[in-house]
Amino acid sequence: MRGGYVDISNLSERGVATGTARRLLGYLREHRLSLIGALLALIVVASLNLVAPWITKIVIDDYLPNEDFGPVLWALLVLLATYLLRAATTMLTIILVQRSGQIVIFSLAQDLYRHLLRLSMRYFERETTGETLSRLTADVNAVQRATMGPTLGALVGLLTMFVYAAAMFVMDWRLTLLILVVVPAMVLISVYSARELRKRYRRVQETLADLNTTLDENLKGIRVSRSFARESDELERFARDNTSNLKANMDTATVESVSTPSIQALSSISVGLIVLYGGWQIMEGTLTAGTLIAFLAFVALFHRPLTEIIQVNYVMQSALAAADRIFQFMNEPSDETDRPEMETLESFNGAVEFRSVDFAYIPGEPVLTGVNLTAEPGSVIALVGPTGAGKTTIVNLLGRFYDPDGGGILLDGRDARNFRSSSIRNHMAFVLQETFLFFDTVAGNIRYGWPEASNEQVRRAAAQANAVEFIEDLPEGFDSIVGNEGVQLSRGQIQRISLARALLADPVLLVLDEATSDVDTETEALIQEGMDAAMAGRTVFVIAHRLSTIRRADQILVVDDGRIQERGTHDELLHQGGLYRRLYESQFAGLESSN
Amino acid sequence: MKTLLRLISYLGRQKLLILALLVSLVVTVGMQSLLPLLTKVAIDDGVLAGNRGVLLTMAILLIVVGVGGHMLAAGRQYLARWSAQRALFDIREDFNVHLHSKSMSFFDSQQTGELMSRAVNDVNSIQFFFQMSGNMIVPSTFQLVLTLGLMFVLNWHVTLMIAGVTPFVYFLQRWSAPLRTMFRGVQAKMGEMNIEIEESIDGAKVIRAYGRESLREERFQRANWGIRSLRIQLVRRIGAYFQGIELTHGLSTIVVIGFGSYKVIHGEMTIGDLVAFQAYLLLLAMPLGFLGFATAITAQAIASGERIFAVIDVPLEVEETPDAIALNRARGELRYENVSFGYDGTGPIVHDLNISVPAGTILAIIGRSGSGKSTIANLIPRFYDPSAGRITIDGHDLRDLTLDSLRSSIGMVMQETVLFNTSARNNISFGRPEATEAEVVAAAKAAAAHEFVLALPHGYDTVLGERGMRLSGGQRQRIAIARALLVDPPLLIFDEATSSVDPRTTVEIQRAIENLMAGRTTIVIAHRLSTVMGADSIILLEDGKVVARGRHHELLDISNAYRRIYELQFAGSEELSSSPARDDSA
Repeated sequence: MRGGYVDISNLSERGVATGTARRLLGYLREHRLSLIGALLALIVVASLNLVAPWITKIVIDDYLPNEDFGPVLWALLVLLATYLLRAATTMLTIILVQRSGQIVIFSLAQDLYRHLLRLSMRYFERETTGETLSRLTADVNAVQRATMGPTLGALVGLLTMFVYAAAMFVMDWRLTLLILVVVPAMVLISVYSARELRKRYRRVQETLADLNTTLDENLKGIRVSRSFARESDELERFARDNTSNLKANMDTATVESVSTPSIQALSSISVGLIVLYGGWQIMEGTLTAGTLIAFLAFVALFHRPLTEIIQVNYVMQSALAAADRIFQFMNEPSDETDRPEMETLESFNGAVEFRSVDFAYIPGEPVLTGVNLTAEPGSVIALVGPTGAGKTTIVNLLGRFYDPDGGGILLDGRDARNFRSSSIRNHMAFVLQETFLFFDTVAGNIRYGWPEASNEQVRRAAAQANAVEFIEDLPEGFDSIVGNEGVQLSRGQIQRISLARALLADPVLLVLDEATSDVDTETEALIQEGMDAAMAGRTVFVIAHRLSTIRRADQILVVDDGRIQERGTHDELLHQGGLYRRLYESQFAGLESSN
Repeated sequence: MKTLLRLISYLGRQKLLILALLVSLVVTVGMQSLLPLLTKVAIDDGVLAGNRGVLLTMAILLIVVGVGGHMLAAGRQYLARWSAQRALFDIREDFNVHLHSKSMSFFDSQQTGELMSRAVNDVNSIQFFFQMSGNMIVPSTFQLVLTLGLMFVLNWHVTLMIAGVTPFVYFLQRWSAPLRTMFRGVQAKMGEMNIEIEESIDGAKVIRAYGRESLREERFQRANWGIRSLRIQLVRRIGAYFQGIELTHGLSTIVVIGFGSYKVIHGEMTIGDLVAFQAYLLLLAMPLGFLGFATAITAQAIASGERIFAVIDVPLEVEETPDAIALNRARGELRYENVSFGYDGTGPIVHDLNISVPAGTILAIIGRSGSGKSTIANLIPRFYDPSAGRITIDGHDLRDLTLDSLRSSIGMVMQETVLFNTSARNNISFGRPEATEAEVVAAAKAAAAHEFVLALPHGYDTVLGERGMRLSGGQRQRIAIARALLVDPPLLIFDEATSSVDPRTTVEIQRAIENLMAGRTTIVIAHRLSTVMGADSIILLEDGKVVARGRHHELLDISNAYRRIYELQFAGSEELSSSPARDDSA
């Protein structure tokens, strides 16, 4: 289940779960009128295909022997009218089918993206970017391909076969049998190779997914692989995946290059038999030349759909497989069970309480156990402790990125689970450990939480985060494009832009998770000054390793092993002489030796 | 045209294969074109002349040539696929190899998603072109020419009449011309959508934290709607095109029946000729329909080829000189001589830098964020080359060394910790896959990572995942440190390696690696003075210039800036020494 392409490995042979087909049909339901219209039009097209061979027969049998050209002209006019009508009808079906098809694809993509934006954070821990990306792009494309021409062509072909069979029987049942006699063998080849190809194409998709995953990883880790001089191994790995893909592709080529020509060869046998038997019958006087000629046209048209169906079957199968993956994605629980009946958190004063909160990202691996804490409105709470102790998890629960497994979180005394998570986050702002800037201007990034903010307000927030100076040094100042492929910024600079973004949002509750870990001490001191003003009147949760940041907190919680081990002010905790004191001492461990 | 030739040159690499393909092509298409002629003889000289022998012979020939021709076609199709897949394989290898030789500044200016889209979508459309070339484009063209030629020989009057519909074909070609731009439009919109999706995945938490979902949904909808409208237009145009081709074919049929009947009535043509003409028309149908399609596929392949070759052709900034020497067992003496450097789009980051690090010593670099500390480190493994001046290791200019030997001599822990989607063990042994279990564990222990790795569900076999989300920031850094330590290089670089690790663990790590640092040249970049106080030399960087250098004590005396940082960081220290609890806890 790795990125890149449609993966059909985990599906049962016998058509994807019927649920998938039903859900796909659900998207089609509102288009049923145009689809029925298209089907009727297709039957008209199939019938019109009969006209040309029939007219040829009449011309040769009835008009040519009489050496009378007049009726031939009439026949030609009928033929012309038929061709025009067929073109118009086909165009109509294309327009009907495509309009519905594209609207379905559009809604499918839109639904997927909307779901992506509301997915629980747990999903992102599990799945790679490539995997998710492939569901929203490659899988949607696979479904889209099934709505295109070939499927329609095969449908017309199959319908035509039945119409032709009926017409041929009326014209001459013996010649019809000569056409039909090879059909069972053709169907066998068609069915066998379709099944074989499905298996082999699955292998192609798997190897392709591996190839793309390798490339994606190579690209993301390029600095690391370079610094360790491991590039030749990466190249080798790629060449290996590339070779497997080549082999898998050639496996499909073996089947494909045998099956279609075999069907065509069988068709040639049919032609030879018709010429022989038909010619003999003409000489006996029991058949007309026109009928023979009409049947020679029938052979090609009658047998063609059987080769087309091989390809179409593959397209349909991979579309179903892709649809299955799409609906599987849509079944992923969205943002911590936000339900429509939940209330909006209208006002929030900033009082927070955790009541014996338990939490695990992965069942059976508890991260928090029995966490209790109380934060008064406007107070500053510092979380300290070793890495991996659970500090970030506590603030994750605060923003309802996750819900606790046991216990509860109260906001102004009300259970957080009663409110939609987006309405909770409206009152909060986060500076996260993983800083992320969007591909946008610096100003656009700072304005992210409050798009209407004026330039003056953006500047003020940047000043509080001590970011104005370096921003103005950028080539375009506040209008410089940052993000992935934008101007190169140092980590400390990115953190300061994130901080400005949080300050501009003017939240009741502010979370700073290692917000300044990559900022140098001097700049941090400057930020601290701006922050003192910014923090006034807000509830603030701070996670930091630097004690200078922590010392001014109203309450310090020492977290270790998912529990709160100590709590109090800086002075109180120092006097207790526990874990906090040991952390404090290690910070200044080099001091005695250097003094 | 140049791009097309370059694409075709990939097909041309397998000369023998191409030759075999062309021969089989001529044979199979020739045999197929023979069939209508056989039918004509069967009707004219067999049935109408009342000669049963000829009829029987022709019927047998029809079966033999038909079956034989199609069987040979199977071989031809296989050869065509083989040549296409080989060419595809080569183009992928070229793309990948070139990608890996690009300098870091190339990757700074490219989004991974964009490169991936080239490697996936564009290579895909080239694959389609390669396959279609051998299977459709060339055979169809050949079929078209051969069939028209045979028809001309059979009866040139009727053939010329059919040629009367040529202007129609011309109009159809003009009608299909905008398809190229429309295809490009769809590709571009899909790229937009990709970037939108990727940002929504990588920035998932920030988007949720600020509740901006509806804004993003609107932006996505714009691109999505654009694709929908473009595709509907595209399909309508293609549909109309194919109906045009069908109509052309229909008109030709009308000409053949009309003019042919006239000729038959006047005894200038036989019924067999008429039948053969109809059969030839059938043979023409496919190549004719394919003509416009072929131009569209080719156009798309050219557009994609341009995007692939654009990457392949990006000049290499960091390149190995042909006579580069291998660096063996470096002692690790490092010198920056008048080095200046700036990234694209920024001004110069470091100016005229002169640093000397004697072998086996520790150099610490401190300074405000953005002052150029990471840049100095990035120049050592030649992620970038200086724009002026030079850097030497053991007296060799870095540019005279092979990249492989240079980078093998360096263990680097970077600011952004990248973990691979593989087990903890493989992540640690990344730089030395042949390391034994004991060595991996030793490195993990030195980086204070052993304990928490063991606590993971499957210990060292736990897959860490792309973003390594099950690990905290500090834990990820410790895996990266273990990775660098395991390589056992003469030169170690720690760029903010412990910024997210708590002070106590940092001290643990420091103690452990102090032993390992012995005898190695080490560059440490850090904000915490406690991390760097033990260094043999500390340089304080400001705006890309060294403003102070010396040991900790010396700097305290000579540099006001350094003293200020020191005071800021250790502001609480007096309390510690005066704290009455100290003795209790000891």
